[in-house]
Amino acid sequence: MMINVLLLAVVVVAGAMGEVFATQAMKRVGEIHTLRPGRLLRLFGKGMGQRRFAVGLVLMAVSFFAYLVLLARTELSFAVPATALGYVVESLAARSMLGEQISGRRWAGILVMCVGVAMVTAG
Amino acid sequence: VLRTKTFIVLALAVMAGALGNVFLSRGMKLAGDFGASPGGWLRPLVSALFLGEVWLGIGCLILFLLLYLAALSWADLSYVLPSSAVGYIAVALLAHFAVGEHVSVLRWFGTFTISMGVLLVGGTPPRTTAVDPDDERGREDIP
Repeated sequence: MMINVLLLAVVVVAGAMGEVFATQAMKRVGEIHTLRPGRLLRLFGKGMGQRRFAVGLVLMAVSFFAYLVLLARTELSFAVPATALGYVVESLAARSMLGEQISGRRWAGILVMCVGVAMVTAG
Repeated sequence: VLRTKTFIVLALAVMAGALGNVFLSRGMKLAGDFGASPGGWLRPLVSALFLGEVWLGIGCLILFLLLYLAALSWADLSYVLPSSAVGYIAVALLAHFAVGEHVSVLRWFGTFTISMGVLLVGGTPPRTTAVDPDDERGREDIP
């Protein structure tokens, strides 16, 4: 059980940190106004040139592998809803590290999700 | 027409996402014993990479992402996000009926509660920070 909780923490925290780093890097790359594959690929290369983006990708991969192990060790009806905690950690990280504002409605959603995850975990 | 198109694409996305998790779950349980300490995880993780179920699951999740992104390209996020909420219920239904897991009443309530939370998180403004502090155009949609 302890290992499963740690795995869930890795899935959620590494995933959120990965997205924060990727966001910071992409904001520096600039707004994307094209959907042409060739130019998107070049933008991706531009992103990869930044260490932050690469670290973000590695963290997302770590999160995915931890999720695979969590799926191996726990029931599907636990693993999937439990990882909804990602929304909570992402929102908090977006506020503290990216300076995004969190509306009252979003705080309410975060609170409701925490209650839901607690119920899933206890059930 | 747009409404029907969006609905169909999102319904397919929800199915692909839920099925992807089912396949991944099945594959990972076939991959070997993850019960031991983390030191013994490498071998079953590697063998998981050779399982059809795992790749089928990853394929379904990629399909989910593509369909979801496609829907986002023409529909509002607040219109699309409820489908993520439905996704949690779809996974619980599949876990019960297809995988044969026992889903307790408390877990059902928890799953519905999480879906409610996802609905609340949706419908918030997509951007509250400027992309570039010097770029005034980016500031128009800040409340």
